[in-house]
Amino acid sequence: MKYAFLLMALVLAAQEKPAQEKPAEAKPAEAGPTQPKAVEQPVRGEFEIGVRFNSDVRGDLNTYRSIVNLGEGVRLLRWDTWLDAKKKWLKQAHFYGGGWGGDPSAWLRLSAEDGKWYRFNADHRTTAYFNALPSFANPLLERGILANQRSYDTRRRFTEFEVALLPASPLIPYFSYTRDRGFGRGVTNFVADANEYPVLNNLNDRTNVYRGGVRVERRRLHLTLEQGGIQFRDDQNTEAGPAAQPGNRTAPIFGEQLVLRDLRQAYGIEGSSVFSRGLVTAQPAGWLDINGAFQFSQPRNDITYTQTAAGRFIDLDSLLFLNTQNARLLGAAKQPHLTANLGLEIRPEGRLRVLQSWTTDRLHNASSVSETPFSDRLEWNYNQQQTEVLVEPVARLTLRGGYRYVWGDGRARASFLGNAPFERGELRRHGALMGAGYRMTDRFSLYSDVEIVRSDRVLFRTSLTDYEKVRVRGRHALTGSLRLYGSLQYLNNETPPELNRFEFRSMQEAMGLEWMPGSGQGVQVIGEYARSTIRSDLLYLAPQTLGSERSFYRENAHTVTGLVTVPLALGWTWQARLSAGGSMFVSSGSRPTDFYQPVARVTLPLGKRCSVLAEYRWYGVSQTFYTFEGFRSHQGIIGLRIN
Amino acid sequence: MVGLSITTDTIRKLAVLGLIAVAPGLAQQPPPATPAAPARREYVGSVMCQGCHEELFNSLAKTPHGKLEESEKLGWKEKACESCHGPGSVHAESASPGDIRNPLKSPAREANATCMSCHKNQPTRVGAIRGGHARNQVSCSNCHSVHAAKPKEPLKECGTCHVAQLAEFQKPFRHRLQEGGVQCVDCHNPHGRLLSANPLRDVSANEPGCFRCHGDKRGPFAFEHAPMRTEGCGACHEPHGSANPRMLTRHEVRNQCLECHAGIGQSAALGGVPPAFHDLSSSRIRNCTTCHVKIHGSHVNRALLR
Repeated sequence: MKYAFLLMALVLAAQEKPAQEKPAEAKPAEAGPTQPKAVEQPVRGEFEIGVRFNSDVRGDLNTYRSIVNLGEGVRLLRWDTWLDAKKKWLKQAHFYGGGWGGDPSAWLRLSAEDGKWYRFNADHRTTAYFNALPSFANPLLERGILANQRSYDTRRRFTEFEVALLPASPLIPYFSYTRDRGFGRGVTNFVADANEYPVLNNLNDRTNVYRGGVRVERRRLHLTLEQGGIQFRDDQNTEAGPAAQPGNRTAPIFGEQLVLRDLRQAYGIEGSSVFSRGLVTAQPAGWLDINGAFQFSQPRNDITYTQTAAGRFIDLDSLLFLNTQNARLLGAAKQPHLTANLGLEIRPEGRLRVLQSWTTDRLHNASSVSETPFSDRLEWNYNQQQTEVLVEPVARLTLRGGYRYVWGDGRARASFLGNAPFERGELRRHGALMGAGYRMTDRFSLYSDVEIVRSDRVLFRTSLTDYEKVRVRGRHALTGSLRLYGSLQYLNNETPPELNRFEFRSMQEAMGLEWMPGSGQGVQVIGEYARSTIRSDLLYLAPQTLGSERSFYRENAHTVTGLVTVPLALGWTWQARLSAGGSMFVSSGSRPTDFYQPVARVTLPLGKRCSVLAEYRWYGVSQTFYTFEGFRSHQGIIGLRIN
Repeated sequence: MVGLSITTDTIRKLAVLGLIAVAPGLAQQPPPATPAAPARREYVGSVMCQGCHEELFNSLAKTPHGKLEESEKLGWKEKACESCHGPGSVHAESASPGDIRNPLKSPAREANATCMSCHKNQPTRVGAIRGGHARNQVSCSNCHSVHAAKPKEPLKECGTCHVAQLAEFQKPFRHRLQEGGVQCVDCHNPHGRLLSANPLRDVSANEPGCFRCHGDKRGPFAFEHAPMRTEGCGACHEPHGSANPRMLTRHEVRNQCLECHAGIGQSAALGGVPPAFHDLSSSRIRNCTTCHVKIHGSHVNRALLR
């Protein structure tokens, strides 16, 4: 009976709602006094410029640079500009970016169009990568040497231009150019028999991608044909000397001390690729959609490698000592890669849809290198067939059910020792797919996905074999100003013992809220909390004992992010605002980590279009088991925002 | 018998709860068609819409959709509003919101069908039919604001559903999302992908999206590290963020490597041969990448040593 009352109440509540709803968009012109029309500015936007101050970093500076890496000085923190030119050759443009003046991530983007002849997009970004953690994979840490042998101080620059012609026509040609460049320095190892020597590594690689194509957009047929090419060059090299260095092995071998006195390694890698793709979507009948794709690429590289090394080395095969090691290798590698897909959407009835798709993805890598007695080859074939049925028993509720079959195989050299044979792995997975989506109004939605997969064969020991995956996501706008959202993800894999016992479980629960009364002009509250757990348990063979050992990884993490903004009652004409919050990440398990980033920000308006910004941040990192990976730093910014 | 009665009772409760769940949807079903003949729906032109919705009309004109109003070829000249909202004659008479199609409030299937009739095959739209968003009633308007000249902020929109993924970017080793250095759509195609099991977008025809910025890892290498091609970068890295350096999925490099290179069980799997003669108790040998420096693939050495 109680259910019946509940049911009735819900039905009544749902019936009443539409009657209460007012047409949000309908604003009759005659209703109310006439509002004075705002004068439209051809240029609008805002930019922020400021000076950043850092305190001394307490703890390890290299760790600070590996994680935060924000420096002092004048910065163009952010800008966002819109131009409504309404000219013949430029109707509208949007230019925005941030981080310029020396920050590790700087970016700018531009989009412009004239509405008839062209649409242009440009994207440029530069990213600094600094990574020199004292404890990470450092073979000499136990000797108290904190200089990591795998450290990098590099930068990547990425630039992309794309122009589409006649964007408003059914036939749209387009062209694009992308350049990606990496350069900088680092430390890597020169590996000789029985010893490794840290050496300077100069990095310099460039990739140019050109592509062009045409899009055909008709009411029942959409077609994209694209052709492209890649030019690639990698000129990295290493150097060492002239001082002799003993490397990681300090003990003599057969009475001789191994040393490196001089080294020049040069990689001259030059490559290219040609790629093509065709995509088609057609609607031959009202109840049928067909989509298909064909994508092919064939990258190849030509290799010229030279090495001259002087010092005292040993050749472990012949047990002879050598004073020099020189090499010049020529090689080539090619990797044809084909991906094709065919899909159907059949709608036998308005609320019933059947989705069917077949996909294949296959590549092989063929290569040979001179002075190496063997060529190498990798093969990989992946196929997938998926059927899904979607039903809408009532409006706004979608139920899904389906089946996915994945099969394929791979082939690679079993080992790098000698003329090792090839080994073959297979993949065979059967998956049941289920899901439901409920979107009661545009204010409330709840989606769920369930995937139950069983595998006969997988390629790697760590591949997921028998697993269940669940995802639930929901959003609810309780009022016009208060929005709640949350998600839950669960993955559980258990590989049967007859294959190899591999247990993996992860779970993520997260929730958040946004409260912005008065369209965000007054108080603003944004908060999120997430908890994630990972547990991985797998046996492996310890090479030194040939006994089995356990690789056990655990992580139990809590993440809190929040920002509260309040208006300050200073009695000024324009409103000052104070924001406080930040984020906190705390985890326990295999690598316990604490990472705190509190922040406080004040905005003091000087006029209608100008305000002063003051921001304070604190960064604190500690990793319990890794003594050197920790730092604390204060940071301040004073700047101007102009709009 | 007890078990049977409990089962039946449980099923009954589940059925009632199921009804409760769908009740609001049932209640919001349009009432049964009345015998009265429906008014004829005809296109009235955007000028009529502008009379009441001038603000929306003006802001739409600044968006890419604004060109519908002017272009003869696209078939909606002077009817841009009705290209999405359908014929507006009945609504113009009654001014009732129920008399006009509102994609924002329609079921996602209907709303998306309206958008897809024009946007099916643009470069990022391929696979929209099978995309997770499309399957889960996430409609185009959840992320795109059609009337607003300024698009919604991608980070904010993705984060309101993918809360857990956004939280991962608060970990110490991560991609620079908050700083604007990367955006979600740099790596993901929110409209779907051919290989639906993998959420990454494609670049240069069929290469994984990681190579868009990490061109030096593209290869092909003379000596490949097989998982790079078959499992993708996610086999070893947590691309959103990690507590482990280099965004690795394990806290120590040797665990990362030895879990595959282990030689126990499943003889058919690739990479199962264990590393021989390596004394992992020695700190010199313990970290595999000390020697195997070209772990992503090598141009000259099969053991990935140089």
